[in-house]
Amino acid sequence: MNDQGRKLFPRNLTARAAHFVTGNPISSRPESGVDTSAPGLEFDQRNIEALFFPGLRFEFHPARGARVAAIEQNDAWQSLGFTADRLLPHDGPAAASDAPPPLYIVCIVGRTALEQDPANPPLLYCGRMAGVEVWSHIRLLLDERVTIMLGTHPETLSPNGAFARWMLGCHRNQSMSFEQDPRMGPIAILNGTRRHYLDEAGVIDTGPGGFVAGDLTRTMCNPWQYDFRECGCFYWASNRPDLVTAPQTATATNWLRRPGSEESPPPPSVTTDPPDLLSGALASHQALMRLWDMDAERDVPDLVSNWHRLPLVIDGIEGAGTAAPTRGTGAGLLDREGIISKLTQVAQVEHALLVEYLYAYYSLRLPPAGGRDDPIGVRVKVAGDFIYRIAIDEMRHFRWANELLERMGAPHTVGRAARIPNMDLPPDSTRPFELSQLTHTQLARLIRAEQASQSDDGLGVDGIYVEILRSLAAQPTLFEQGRRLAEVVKLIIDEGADHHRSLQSVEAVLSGLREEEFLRNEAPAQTAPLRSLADVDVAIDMSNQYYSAFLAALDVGFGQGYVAGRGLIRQAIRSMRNMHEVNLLVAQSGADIPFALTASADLVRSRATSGEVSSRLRDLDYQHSQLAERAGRPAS
Amino acid sequence: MSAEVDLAASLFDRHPADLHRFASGNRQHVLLVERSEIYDLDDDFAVRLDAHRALGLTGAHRRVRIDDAPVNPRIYSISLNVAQSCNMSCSYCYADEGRFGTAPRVMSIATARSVIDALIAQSLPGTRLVVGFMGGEPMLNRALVHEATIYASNEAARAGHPISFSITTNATLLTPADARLFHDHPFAVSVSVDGDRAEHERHRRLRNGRSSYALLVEGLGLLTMRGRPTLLSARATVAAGDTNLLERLEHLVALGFDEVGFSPVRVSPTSELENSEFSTEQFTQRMIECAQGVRERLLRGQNCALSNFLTALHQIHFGTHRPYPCGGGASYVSASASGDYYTCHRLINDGAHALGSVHSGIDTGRQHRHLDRKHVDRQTPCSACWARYLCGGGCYHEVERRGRDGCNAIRRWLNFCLESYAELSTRRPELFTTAPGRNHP
Repeated sequence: MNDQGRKLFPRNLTARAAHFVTGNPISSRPESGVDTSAPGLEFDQRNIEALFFPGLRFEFHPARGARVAAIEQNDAWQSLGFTADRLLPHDGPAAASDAPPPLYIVCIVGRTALEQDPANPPLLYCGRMAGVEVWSHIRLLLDERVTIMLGTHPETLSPNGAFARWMLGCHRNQSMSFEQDPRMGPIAILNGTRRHYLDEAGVIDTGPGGFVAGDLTRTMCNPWQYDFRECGCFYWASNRPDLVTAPQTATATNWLRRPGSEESPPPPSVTTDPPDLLSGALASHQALMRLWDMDAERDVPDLVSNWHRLPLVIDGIEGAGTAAPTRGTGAGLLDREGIISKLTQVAQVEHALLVEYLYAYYSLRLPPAGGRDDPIGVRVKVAGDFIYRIAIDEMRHFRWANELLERMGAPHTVGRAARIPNMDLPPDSTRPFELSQLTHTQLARLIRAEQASQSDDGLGVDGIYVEILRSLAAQPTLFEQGRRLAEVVKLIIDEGADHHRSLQSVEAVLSGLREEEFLRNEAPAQTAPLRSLADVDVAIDMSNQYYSAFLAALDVGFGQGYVAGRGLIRQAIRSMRNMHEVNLLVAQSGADIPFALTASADLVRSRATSGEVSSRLRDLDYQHSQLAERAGRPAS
Repeated sequence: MSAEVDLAASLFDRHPADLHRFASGNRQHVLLVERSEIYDLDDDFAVRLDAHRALGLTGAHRRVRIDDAPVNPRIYSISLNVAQSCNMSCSYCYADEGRFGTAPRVMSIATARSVIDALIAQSLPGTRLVVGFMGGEPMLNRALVHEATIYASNEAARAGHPISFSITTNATLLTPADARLFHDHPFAVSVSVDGDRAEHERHRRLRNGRSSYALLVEGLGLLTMRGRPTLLSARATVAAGDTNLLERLEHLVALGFDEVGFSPVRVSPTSELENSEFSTEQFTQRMIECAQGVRERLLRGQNCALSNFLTALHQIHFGTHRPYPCGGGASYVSASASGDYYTCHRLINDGAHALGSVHSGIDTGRQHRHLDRKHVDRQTPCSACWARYLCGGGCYHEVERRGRDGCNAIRRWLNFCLESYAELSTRRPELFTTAPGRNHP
C-alpha cells in the first residue's frame, strides 16, 4: 500500500492498536513474519534480495553462483549493449546451444557495516561461491551505493590487488561498462544504490520496479504442489496429501521405510541444486526416489497441472466420479424403545464377536516358532495382531453400547448374542455364534459381518448402528442427549470400517497359506507350558471363572453408572488380561478354550455386589499365580 | 481503508482539548488525548485540519474513554520512613531535615514487619511488590534496613511474590555490608547528588561541616566496586538559578550512575530556593536544552540516561494515558515511622492525606475519596488541557502547597518530548522495541 490516499499513519502503540488496516494480515509486515529459507513458513527471504540491485533480478539457488534472471529496460544500459535480448535466454522454444551462457555475480563492492570506511568499502569476490553464499553477503549490504561485476565465468578471474583497486576505482567513479572480453566472455560493471525493500509505511514496496504479487512466496512448497517429498526438514505446517499412486502398477510404500525391512534410509539432505552435489546422503535420497517407483506414480508436473482431476475421497473410499447420496426414506425411524432394543441387541452381538475374535486369535499358531527368521510365522503374527486389536475394539464397543443404554436410562446387558447379523437378506440375515478357528471360511464370515452396509436396509452389524444413527439424527428433539449418542454411534461405525480394512489385510497376509501352516494343531508341542492334564483342566476352569468374573464386574460396574462404576470396570479389564494369559497357556498346551458362560454364572445371576466380585477376582489371582509358577511363566 | 477514513474525518470534530498538534523535523503529527494515540499526518491534511481548527469549527462533543468509575486499587508498593532524622542539613529539603515538622522518630522493626505483612496480605497472588526505604536518611536506621529487607524477601518468597526494593540515600554513611545488601537483593538505589563538588556542596551540607561530596564519592565507590545494585541512579535537585544541566548530567554519568534524574525544588522551607514561576520557565528551558543534548547523543547511537526524558519517551511510546499523576494513594502508600499510612512520602504527617495505619489497616473510604477528588477530569484547569492524561494533574504535594503555576512549563516540556519521540522513533526505532521494566517508587 503506497502513500496515495493515506492521511494518517499510526506511530505509537495505542495508535497502532486502535488503527487496524483492513485487508492486510499480520504477516504482510516482514518484521512480524516467520521466515526461513528452507523453504520458508510464510515467505522465502531470498526473494527479497533477488531485487537488491535496481534493474536486475537474481536467482540464488544455482550452485555456481548468483545468477541474473532478468534485466530491465534501461536507456543507459541499452546504450552499452547490456540488454536482456542479448544476454538472457528467450522464452519459448530455442535450441539449447543457442541460449546464451548464464551471467553470474563476479564481485560486489559495497559496505556491509557502519564501521567500514565509506571511501574504502570492502570487495567481495564471488568466484567460487554458491548462489546461497553470495546471498548471505548481499543481505548484509547497507542501503548505499554498490558496484557489481557480472560475468559468465566468475571463477576465472583472479582477485588480486590490482583487480581490487580497479574495482574500487569503478565504485568511486560510478563508472559503468559492458564489454566482451575475448577470454572471459561478457563482463559488465554496474553501479547502483541498493534497493529499499520496504516503502515508507514499512511494507513491501510494490511500486514500479518493485515486488509483484506472488514474488515472496513463489519458491515455497505448497501442499498441493507436491514438492514436499524433496523437503529436507520434514516439518509441515499443514496437512499434506498422501502419495497418489496409479491404480494398477504401483505398490503402496511407506515412504520412510524400504519394504520388507525395519531400517529407514537417512533423511535426504537439503540441496539447492541436486544434480551438482554428490554426497552419501544425497545418494540415498536418489535411492529413495527410485524406491517410490517413480514411473507408476504421477510425476510432479502432472500432479501440479492435473490435481483438480483427481477424484474425491470420502470416508476412505475414492469415488470414480460423482454420485448422489442415498437418502433414507424417513420411514422406519426408530423410537426410543426401538433404539433401546437395537442397542441391547448390538451390545450382545459385540460381546459375541469379541469372543469369536479371541477364539480365532488363540487358534493361530503363535508365537512364531523360528522367531524373525520364520517368514510364515511373521505373517501369522501380523495376522494375529490385527485380530487381537479388533477383539479389543469390540470389547470397547460392548462397553460403549452399554454406556449408551445407561444414557438413555435403559438397563444394561452383559448377555451374549446367540446369533450374529449377516449381510444377507432373510432368512439368512443372521448366523449362529460359533467358536471357530480362523479358517479361511471363518475369516470370510468375519469380513462379511464387518462389511459396511451399502444402503439403509439395516443389514449386518453396521446396518443396525446406521439405523440407530439415522433415527437419532432425524429426531433431534426426541432424545435429550441425542447429539452425544450420535457421536458415539458414528465412532463405532467408523471403527467398524477400520475393522473391515484390517480383516482384508489379514486375508491378504494369510492368502496362499495352507491352514495347517498357520493354525495350531491338536497335539501339544514339546514346549507346552502345562505338562499335566490336571493343570490343563485347572487352567480351563480358571479361564471360565475369569470370564464370568469379568462379566460380573461389568454387570455391577455398568449398574453403578459411568462414573461410580469406573473402578469395577477397571477390575474387569484386569481380569480380561489375566484371562488372556491363562488362555495362552491353554492354547499353547494344545487345548481348547470354551468361553463357557455357565461357570460362576452364580455371580452374574445373583447380581453380586462389587465387594463379592472383587473378592472372587482376588481368589482367582492367587490361583493364577500358582498355576503360572508351575508353568514356568510367572504371572505379571 | 474505511477505518482510516473514519478516523481522519473524525479529527475535524474533536474538541480542542482532545487533540494536540505538533511537528517534528518536517513531519506533522497529532496526539489524540484520550488514549495518547500519536499519528503522523500528511502535509495537506495537516494544513486543512489546522485551518479548520483555527476557524473554531471544531466539535463540542467530548469523547470520554476514561470514565468516572472508581478504581479499586490494591497496593503493591510501599515506602517505609525508617528514620525521620538526617545527618545532613540540605537547605531545600522538604523533609525539613527529616523532621517533617515534628520531633524526629525512628521506625521500629516490629512496625516494619507489620507493614510488610500487611502489604503481602492484601496483594493478589503473584503480584510484584516493591518496598522502599526513605527518610530523612534511611541509613541512620541501618539495622532496620537490613532486617526489613531480609524479612520482606523471605516472606514474599513464601507467599509467591516477586519483590524488589528501593532506597533514597545521601550515600555518606554507607558501609561494605550495606553495599552487599544492595547487591544481594534486587535494589534500586537512588543517590541524592546535585553535580560536581561545588554544585553539590552549595546546598547539601553535613551538619559537622565536613565535605559531603567526598563521603558521597567514597560511598559510590563501595556501591560500584563491591557489586552493583540492580539500578544505581542519581537524583539531582535543581534550585532556582541553577544552570548547565547537561554538564551536571555528564559529570554524574561519569561518576558511575546508570541514570540521572533532575528534580526542581518546588516546595522548600526556604522560599527563595523554590523555583518561582519565572524560574520554572527557566528550569524547563534548561531541561529542554539538556534533553536536546541527550537527544543528539541518542540519534548518534550513544546511550545517554536522562531519566526524566527517557521515561517520558517510553510512556509516550506505550501511549500511557491516566487520570492521576502517580500511584500515590492508589497502588502506593508511604508509612511513617510510627506506622501511619499517607498518600506518599512527601505527605508524611499531613493529616489531609492520612490513609489509616498498620494497626487499623488502610482506610479504603479515605482512599476512594482521595482518588475521587484528585481525578484529573475534575481539576481546573486540567479538564481543558491537552496534556492532562500525560501529566495527570501534577504532583499532589506541589499542587497543594503551590498551586498549579507550572502548567505552561509542563506543556512545553511534554511537547518537546512528543517531538523528540516522533524523531527518535523514526530514526532510531530500536530504542523503543524493548520495554523498560523497572519499578520506580
